[in-house]
Amino acid sequence: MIDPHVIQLCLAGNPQGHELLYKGSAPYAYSIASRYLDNQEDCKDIMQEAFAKTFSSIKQYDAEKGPFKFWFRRILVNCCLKHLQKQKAFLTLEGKVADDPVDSSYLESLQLSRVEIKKLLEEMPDRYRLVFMLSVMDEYNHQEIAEQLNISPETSRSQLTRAKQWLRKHLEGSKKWEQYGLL
Amino acid sequence: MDSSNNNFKSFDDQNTDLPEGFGWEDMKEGVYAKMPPKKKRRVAAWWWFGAAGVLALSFATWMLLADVYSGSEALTSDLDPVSTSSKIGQLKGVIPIEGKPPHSSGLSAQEEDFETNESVSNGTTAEVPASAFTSDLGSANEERTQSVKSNVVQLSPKPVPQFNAAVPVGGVDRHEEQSGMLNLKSIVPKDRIASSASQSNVVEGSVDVDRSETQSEIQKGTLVESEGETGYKAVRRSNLTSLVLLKRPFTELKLESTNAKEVQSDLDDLSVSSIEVISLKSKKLFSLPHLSLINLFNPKSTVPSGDFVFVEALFSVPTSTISSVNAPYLTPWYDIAESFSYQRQFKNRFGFSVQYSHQELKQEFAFSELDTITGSNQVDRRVDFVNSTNLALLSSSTVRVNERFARQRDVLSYNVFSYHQLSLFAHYAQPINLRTSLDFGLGGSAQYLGSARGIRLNDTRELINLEDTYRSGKRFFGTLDARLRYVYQFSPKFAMSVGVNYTQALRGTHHSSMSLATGVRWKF
Repeated sequence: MIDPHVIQLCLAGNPQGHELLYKGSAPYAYSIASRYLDNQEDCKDIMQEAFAKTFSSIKQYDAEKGPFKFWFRRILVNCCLKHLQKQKAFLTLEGKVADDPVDSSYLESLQLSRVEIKKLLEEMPDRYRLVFMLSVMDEYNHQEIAEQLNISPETSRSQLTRAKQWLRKHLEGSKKWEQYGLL
Repeated sequence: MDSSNNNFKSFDDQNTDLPEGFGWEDMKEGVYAKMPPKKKRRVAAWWWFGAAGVLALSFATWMLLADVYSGSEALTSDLDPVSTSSKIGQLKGVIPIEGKPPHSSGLSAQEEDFETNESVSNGTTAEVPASAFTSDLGSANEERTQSVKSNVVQLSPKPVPQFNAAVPVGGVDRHEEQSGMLNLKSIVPKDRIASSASQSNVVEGSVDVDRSETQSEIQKGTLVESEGETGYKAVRRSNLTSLVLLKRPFTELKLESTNAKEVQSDLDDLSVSSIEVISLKSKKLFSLPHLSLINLFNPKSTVPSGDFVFVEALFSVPTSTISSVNAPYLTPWYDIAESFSYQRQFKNRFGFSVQYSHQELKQEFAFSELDTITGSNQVDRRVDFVNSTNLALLSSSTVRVNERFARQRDVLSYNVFSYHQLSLFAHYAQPINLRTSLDFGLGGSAQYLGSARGIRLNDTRELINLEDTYRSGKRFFGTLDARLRYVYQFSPKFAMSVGVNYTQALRGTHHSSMSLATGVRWKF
């Protein structure tokens, strides 16, 4: 996604490198930020904060540990969560642990368009969506989610289970569901 | 789950258009505004230490590699043995000068520095032998000749007495007679001054001359010669009427004065010291005669004595793991200190100093998201959070310690300890050459912990406030200290030093450390 030369420019504090890195990462960043934040102004603010942190701490990026976008995603998601934390958006997450785990293998087979996924996420209840996005889309484990959201790992698992239950239920009867023989 | 087949995981990778107002031009101002300011103080400190280090290395390199003594053996072997009976003494004609001499045009920058730091002539003299400018200088030395000539603009044709004195160096250790940096008071035995044959070598040298029994004290002269010829690069004079000029490769000292009577009457009291060989048979781009090595164990070598004040900056790192300031989740500490000292240096190279230092010891407190923090009481604590990603202060908040601590990944806090230290040192200064010396110091210090700020985890993983912890604890500590300084004397009153300190804690709970130090020193 990002040319190593651009990283080198940023390491040298070159404004042109900043611009190139921004232009290469901004669509990705906006996609992530808009998943967590509804308000466009909030998205803008958080993206600025994330890029500021990225530029100032680019020396800590280790290319051997993974692609730049994963490192950058962590910074951005942390900024989003911090913002939500300020808004007390995590208060509704504590809940009863689900009794039955849900078979989520169908998620791997789903072929949904970006618009469809976006619509699904918008319709998904807030209390499930955050854990679902962190776990499925941003690859946090339950321990990490628990730490980030100030909940227990069990609650994280519970919310993810419910999110998957909701997703399955929501897709039942839809074309996609039938198309892939998931019913 | 395989991300390549997962629409959810690849959701963000799909190209999307940025909405209006998200372009770089719209965003960059906000991005740069949110970037943390650079830590200027730390950068400045590194620059200071770096510059001082480079300076010290440059001098050390020069001293090690300079062609200081090449050909000196040939020179000394050609000289006559020292005569123990001769004194300065052969009267010759001299050209008197009226008014203040325009000597500055012929002085090097270094010599000008001397000039400005010493008492100035009451304005009557600069004696230069007329013959030296017309016959002694050869074409190879033309540039110097021009320089010297500019000094003799005011020469008067009226003859006055002139004296030649031979200063033998053969058969003895030339450097034995050096008096140390800028110390013009040393007098060598008169039997070292003898008539001697001339020597034809390329020599640049300087000599300190002391006539302590008269007011017209000749303090310093500098000679520049090329092979087979004699020239006068610059002249030093005391605050009275006498002046010394050197001729030949320190086998001959020529003294002149406009005050003929004075020179005549006290001539026998004249003695010579600080003969220094700068280069033989080679000419360096930069002539730094004061940096020639001397015999380190010569008891006659001295350092400037008197009362000094000095200011230093120190950067310390720990040499012991056990310390009153160590704790889990803390990064290794570093310490930046400023010190103010008074030093009394005696002529016998020994001295003492009293030093006050203020140290600020800094550590970073970090814990990962896997750590669990619990508290033991309901005390609200003010906590400064920084994000480890950029180590910038992000926000402050009040945390109730018995709550589950909602935190970002790798939260950090600074632990800052402020110490006040009073030290007493005994010193021994070892001269290296006319400008430099090594200063050894041994002593002890009493430290007082003035303040401790920040939060950390203790051994039971409780979040604690440092101020609470150290308020009732032991706040006085004792240390043994050793210090070594390389001192470079820029002028009789101003010097710069670079060196190291080692501090050994007297109690196991306090820290031992090693410091780099640099500073400046004034004589008052």
